[in-house]
Amino acid sequence: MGKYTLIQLKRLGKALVWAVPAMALLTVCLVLGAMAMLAGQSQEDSRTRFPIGIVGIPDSGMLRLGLSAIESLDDLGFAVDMQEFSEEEAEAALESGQINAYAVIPPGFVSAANRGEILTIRYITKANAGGMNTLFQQEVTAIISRLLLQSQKASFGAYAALEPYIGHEEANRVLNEFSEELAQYIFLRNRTGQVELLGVGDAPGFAEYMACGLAVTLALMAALSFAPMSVLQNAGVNILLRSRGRSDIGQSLIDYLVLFAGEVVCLAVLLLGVSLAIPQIKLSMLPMLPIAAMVAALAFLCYSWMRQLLGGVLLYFFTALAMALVCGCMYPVWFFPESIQRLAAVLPGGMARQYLTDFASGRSGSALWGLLGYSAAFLALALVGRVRRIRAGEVGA
Amino acid sequence: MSKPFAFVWLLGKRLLRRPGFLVLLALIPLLTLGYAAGTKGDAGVVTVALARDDQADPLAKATMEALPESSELIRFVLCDSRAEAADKVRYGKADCAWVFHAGMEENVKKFLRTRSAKDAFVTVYQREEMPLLTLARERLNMSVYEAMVRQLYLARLPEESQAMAQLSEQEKLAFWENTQIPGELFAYTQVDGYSQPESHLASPVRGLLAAIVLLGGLGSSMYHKRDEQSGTFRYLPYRLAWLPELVGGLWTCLALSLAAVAALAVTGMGVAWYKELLCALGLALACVCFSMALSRLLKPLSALAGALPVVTVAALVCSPVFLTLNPLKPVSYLMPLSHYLWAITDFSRLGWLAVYSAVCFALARIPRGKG
Repeated sequence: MGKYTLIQLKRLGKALVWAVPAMALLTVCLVLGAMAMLAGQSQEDSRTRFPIGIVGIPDSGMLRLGLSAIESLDDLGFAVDMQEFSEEEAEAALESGQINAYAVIPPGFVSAANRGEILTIRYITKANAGGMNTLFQQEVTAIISRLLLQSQKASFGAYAALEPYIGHEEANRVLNEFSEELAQYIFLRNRTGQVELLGVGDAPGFAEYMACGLAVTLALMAALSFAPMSVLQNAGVNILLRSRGRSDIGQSLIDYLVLFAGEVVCLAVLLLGVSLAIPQIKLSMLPMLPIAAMVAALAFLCYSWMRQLLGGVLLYFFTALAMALVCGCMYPVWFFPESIQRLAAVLPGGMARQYLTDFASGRSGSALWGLLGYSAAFLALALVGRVRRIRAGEVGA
Repeated sequence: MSKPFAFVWLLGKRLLRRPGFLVLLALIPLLTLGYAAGTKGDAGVVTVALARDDQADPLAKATMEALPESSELIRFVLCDSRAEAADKVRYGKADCAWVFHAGMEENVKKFLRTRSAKDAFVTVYQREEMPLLTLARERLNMSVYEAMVRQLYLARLPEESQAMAQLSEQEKLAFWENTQIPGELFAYTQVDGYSQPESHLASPVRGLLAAIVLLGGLGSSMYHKRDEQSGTFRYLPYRLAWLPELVGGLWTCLALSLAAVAALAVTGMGVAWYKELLCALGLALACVCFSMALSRLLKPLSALAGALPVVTVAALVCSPVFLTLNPLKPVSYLMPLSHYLWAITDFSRLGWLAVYSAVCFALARIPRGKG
């Protein structure tokens, strides 16, 4: 083993002294989070709860029907917790995060409804960066709205049709009876569809997919730890070694291999922690090796072309973050339009995620070759940048 | 130029003369614009394949047509047959398939009589059960409910009046259709007037841009540690040793913050310009102070580098970038990203961003012990 290799291994050892405990800490946090989620799933009430304030609830049958309809959506896994407030209290509760939103039922809502007139309920949310929560709430309220309005339309349609023939009193009776009958069917609506589970087959399940996406994201982030070791801010040693006959390409390859080794150690810590704590998640080190090779090559490329530590860290983080987002590692890729899905399939992050999900579900695919191709291309480009700087004799940045 | 100004200017010049850094600054708005444009296409969280056994069945056709158009949550894909729809699910091209059985009108009438799940008239194919698919299924229930209400209405009228029995189906339905109801029961309002991005895919963009600013601060602190190792600022008196880290970090974070503001402006996701600029300034300051405090805590360069993945993941998970996770709220107070995102949604919280920066700066300035 050459002296340069020993020097680089020593630098790797210094980096790992901190990178390994940091990765272990991250693993512990992720494992605790995952275990809390798994424990939550086994509990009876594990639904995502949306606390919502209601302002101005009058004691009325129709309102009770509406509130029961909301409660009947509880089996969705998105339970709505309703709490009664005055508008000032609701505003304060929304501000403090006690509730996610509040609905203001306008005065005279019920008497207007009895005349067949529906007054609009104001639904007030506090905008935040969590777009998904808002999306789910809007979906739930849209469903409730449509169910209730269709019932109302049918009941008052029947009233309008019958009133000239049977008179106001009788038509009112029909309206009330028909409203109650329709309400029963709101609660029976789940019986109209028969669910057939086809099984996940050889494609990954949702949880498996997300675990693979998270593994790729963490693999990308782990390479940040080795930036100070790999950014060639001062090539003085390399120039000296070259002048003594040591190949500059050989030195750069050693730099890459040391970065790859660091990446492998970090991923091994992560997988060891996960497999010990949650045996249900089946990820082994073998499929992570080509991913580690690609991630190390990408990081090596960014670190080789940037002459400052800051630039190297920023360029790599920006690339890794963009790739993780677009390639379906943070959101499932099918959330995106077709064009982005096609782009993700050919990007290295998308291939890494695809390769891992293929491996986890026992399928064979071409993603491995793509990953190896990207690794070779990134490494070649990194070597060009690094060797060029050593040959140009750039001592410092 | 006076010495302090020259010092500040030289630190900035050292950064801004790097073409790589300038290219990176330009890439931030360009790639954000590309991402925002890319996510505007036809997308949905759940893809539903729709099919009917009898293509000529009028009620099945009407029910499928009554399903709302593809939304942010659900994207519908029409299929010609049950087999095609099931295959789409089987091979992962769709999350679920809803297949309407032949003879739907008769099926609905039978179900209304028996009210039994055995007489279900729609088959739902799924690979596995998930809360999201259950939520999507409520769209199907809603549409089928309308078909049931229609049948109940048509059956009820002749029971109540002989005159109704003389009317045609169209004449009876005319009373229903002429009943005026509002389009939506709920009118959505947001209290602070902050415009949420149209797409949930675009909503984390602001948080991710802020994460880049945070990494800029941490990277700058690492760069400063290298400067310390090489003795670049040895000439400065000890009491001013913190100055290059602060000024260098501010140059980096301000440049990145302004690139992020430009990115948000070109994609139409920004808020009022003065709020955006003040919050960007606050974010830059908070990220620099946070980085200085962390740098003070983790003295070796490799320690700070080792912390980068942890800090990044913690910032993205604990701050409300993707989701607001209430159990993690105590940790989110430690992250500059959370204070920035809260200040953007509620401008009165900008002061907290300043307080957070001051606390971090104070932590970074705790006198060092001997050695």
